[in-house]
Amino acid sequence: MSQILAEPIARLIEEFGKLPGVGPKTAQRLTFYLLRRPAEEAHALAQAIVDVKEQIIFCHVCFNLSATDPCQFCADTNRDHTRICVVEEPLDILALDRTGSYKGVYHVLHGSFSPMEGVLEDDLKIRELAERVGQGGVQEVILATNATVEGEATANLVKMRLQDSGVHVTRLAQGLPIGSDLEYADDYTLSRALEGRRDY
Amino acid sequence: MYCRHLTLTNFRNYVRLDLALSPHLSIFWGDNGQGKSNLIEALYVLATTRSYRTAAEREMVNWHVAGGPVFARVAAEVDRLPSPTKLEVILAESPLAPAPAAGDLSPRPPGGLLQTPATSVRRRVRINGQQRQPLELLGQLNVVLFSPEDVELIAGPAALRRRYLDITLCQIDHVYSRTARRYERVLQQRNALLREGRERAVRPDQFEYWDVQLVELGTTMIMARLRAMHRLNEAMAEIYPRLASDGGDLRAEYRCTVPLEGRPSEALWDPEAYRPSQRTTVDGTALQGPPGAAVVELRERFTAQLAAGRARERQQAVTLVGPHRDDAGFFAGNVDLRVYGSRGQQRAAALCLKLAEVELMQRSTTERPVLLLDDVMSELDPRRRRFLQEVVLEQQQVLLTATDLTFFAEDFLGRADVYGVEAGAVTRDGLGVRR
Ligand SMILES: Nc1ncnc2c1ncn2[C@@H]1O[C@H](COP(=O)(O)OP(=O)(O)OP(=O)(O)O)[C@@H](O)[C@H]1O
Ligand SMILES: [Mg+2]
Ligand SMILES: [Zn+2]
Repeated sequence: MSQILAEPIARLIEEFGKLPGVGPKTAQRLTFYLLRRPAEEAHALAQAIVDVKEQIIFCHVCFNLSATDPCQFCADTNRDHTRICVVEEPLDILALDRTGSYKGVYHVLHGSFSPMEGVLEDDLKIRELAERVGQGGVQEVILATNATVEGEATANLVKMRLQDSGVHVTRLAQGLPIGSDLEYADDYTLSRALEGRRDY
Repeated sequence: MYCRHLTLTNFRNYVRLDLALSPHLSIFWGDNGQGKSNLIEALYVLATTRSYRTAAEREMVNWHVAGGPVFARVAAEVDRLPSPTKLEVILAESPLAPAPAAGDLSPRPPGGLLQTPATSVRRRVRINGQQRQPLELLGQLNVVLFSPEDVELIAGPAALRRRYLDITLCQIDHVYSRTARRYERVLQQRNALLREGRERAVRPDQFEYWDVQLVELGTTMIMARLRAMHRLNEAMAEIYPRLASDGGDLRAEYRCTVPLEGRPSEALWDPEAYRPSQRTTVDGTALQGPPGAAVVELRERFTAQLAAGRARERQQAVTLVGPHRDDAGFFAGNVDLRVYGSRGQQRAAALCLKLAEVELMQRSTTERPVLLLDDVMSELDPRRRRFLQEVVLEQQQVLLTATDLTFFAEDFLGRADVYGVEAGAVTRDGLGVRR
């Protein structure tokens, strides 16, 4: 291919091809699409990619991805800081917050307990959560990990590590379809799941 | 239930086949290598989503298909309760080979029902025109297959017997198929954790969740298998004396890695004792009522056995207790047929097991499964051939293949639709050719 296509084209195709869910065909289509667009559009895209890498940092409180530290949720005094909702990924916050039924703050574990993928307890922000709770002022921790085997395993682990803190631990009710990712759940389902959360 | 119409496109050596089938007996007759077994395989794929001959889906796609997207299609209309159903399995080459999940280094045993084989040809399932998960196909068309290789169920390795029990139970019990799938996942995660434990510190309580899941799901599987074996034994007690001349009986015995000794075996399959299937969710955690006494006891024994083997298991970094390690033995009288049976005895036992499976399925689903008999006659002595013809006429739909029609009695042939199979084409002139 490198012989037939100009080097910059081949290189962009290759870069696109590294993205998850993008095969060679799609990579080619994206490349030629961009070639036909005005230069400003390409610049805007390139800048957005650079910015996201350079400007996004972890919130040191909840480990959400954010442009500020603390993040918008942790800095918001109108939110209920006695409630922490624990999620696997930053995108899960988006899904939960869209519902409008939750006014507390969050904690992002950055993954789930999945030995097959080499992810064990220490690779997750569980110790950080325990420390955060240990500092006091937290009344409830809501476990909103996915309803998968790994999500359940993660919830179980977090619960164990919070046992001594005496904090009230709840789990999202099984309103979520089993085997589903929070990210894809519809708002209604999520609202119901939040209302029906149970002791855990 | 029966399959009233079968359509094949690019499946093995069938470029195109449209076949209406009677609810009774059809015989497919032809020389070696013409496509008789391919027909049987197609129906089996519709019933179980998998072939019994290969784990590589690519092999089932006609190899002459060139250009365009490479695909094969098996479709059937199934007459069943409550209403007729259209089933389709499409094997299509996906645009790119699926990349293995990052860090997924776990070994995948070949041919496991619940694994996804590494191939770029993927299965898609449609039920009444709607795209569905492959798992949802199970139970839509129930088949019982007997093929010459089935002698390995008696004589071969334990993995084949586990696979057989799993496939049989998945067809009749949705709770089982979901439980088995979840168990497989938990097992892989637990084994991975054991492997990780060799390289870095893993606090023992990190096993807690996986242990509890393994025991709960594993117990459900073991109970279901014990119940199935109990029913198979009841049926085999009726069938075997008709089939075997030695006047003995045939008995299957479940060999469990969780010790079952010292408890009255009836209690294990007492329907009252077995109560884990009243689930509200499919995740294997939420039970409506309390589990039965036998379930509680089996879980306790499972947990104890797991604890007892902890050191060995850490050392070998694999889970050593559970249904994934269980086996079954077949005994004629007191003789273990795997070790001491003659080839003919092993064959008769395998056939008996399959006929018992028909009864098991009928009891569990209230519908009679389709019986697929591939090349069954050529291996039996005259007495067993006679018996088999009797049994076949007691069934509902039967698809039977043969290279030689002289094995069959005239009245048997008279009650069958006889088809000729030649180079991937099926014709209704079977009998005409014979005479
Ligand atoms: N993917 C494929 N594409 C085309 N032809 C195939 C494919 N796979 C197998 N075949 C052909 O199908 C034939 C085998 O068919 P099958 O196993 O149904 O034979 P059979 O009629 O059962 O014979 P036997 O009496 O020996 O059991 C072989 O000739 C083989 O070459
Ligand atoms: Mg054959
Ligand atoms: Zn924050």
